[in-house]
Amino acid sequence: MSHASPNANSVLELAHGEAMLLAESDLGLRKPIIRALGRLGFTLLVAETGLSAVELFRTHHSKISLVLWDLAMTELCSPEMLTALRRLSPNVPVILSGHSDEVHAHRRYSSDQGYIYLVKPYEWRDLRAAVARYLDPAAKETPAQSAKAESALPAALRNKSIVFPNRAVAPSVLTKS
Amino acid sequence: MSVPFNIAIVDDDASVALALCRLMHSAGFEAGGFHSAAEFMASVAERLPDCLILDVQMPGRNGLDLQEDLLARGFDFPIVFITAYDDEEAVRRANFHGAAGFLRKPVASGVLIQTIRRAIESKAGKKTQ
Repeated sequence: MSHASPNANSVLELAHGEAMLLAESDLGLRKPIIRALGRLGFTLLVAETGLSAVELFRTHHSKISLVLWDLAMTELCSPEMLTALRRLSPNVPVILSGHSDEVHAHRRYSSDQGYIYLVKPYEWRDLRAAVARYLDPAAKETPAQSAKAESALPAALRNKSIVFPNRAVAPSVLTKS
Repeated sequence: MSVPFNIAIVDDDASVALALCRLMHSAGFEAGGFHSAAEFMASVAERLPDCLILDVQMPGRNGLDLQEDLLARGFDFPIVFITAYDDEEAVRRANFHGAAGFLRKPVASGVLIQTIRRAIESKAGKKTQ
């Protein structure tokens, strides 16, 4: 087993588990995410820019089962990059993270609603819950958790159902408790 | 008569751990000091604290490592970090893993006690939701 490096394009070879693309521009957040997801057994492909993330996805998309995407990634706007991902792998689940204004804007204008949104600053338990939704479709937030997550959002973001590729689920915007 | 909250303190500096224990007693808490992450891990399951005061910089497993070890083992009591250094990365790592507080030494006793009370109350509030 190799150890996680927070640098761009590093690949974490972990003992077993699914491959995940982590595209996060914030080093201070990327490092603890790498450590935490590594403990879960993910094989992580890590990018710190949008272009490098797309390139990693282009090379490894057949093996990638989940994407965590920072809406603040630079170089290309997020919709363009996400469109590129969808072209390569139409059904790959994507978790989008960003500050509330970024999430608000993306959710309002994105035509593709197959995303879970994580509102920054989020904690490890929020990320773990979002990941669990993909790993185990039966895993659901408690009503209290869902209500709390929704109430933390601007009114325009509340009560919007998200339809996953091949999977319909309840509203699932997660935020720091 | 209510049972006082139990506060655990992990600090490799024995004098700091003792001073914090005394402060906790004066605030009406029960308190126990530990001098390393390993020492605390060896006994945590015997008596779960209501809150942990945790030094960041320690030999061996540091406070941030201990926080992650505890989470990985399913312990979710609140943790208040204290540190002598300005380290933004440490703050973000601790907060990502759900730290209840991150205080800079020297910590004003009133601030520490207030932070602990809030952390315990917040945890209790989450349990009742």
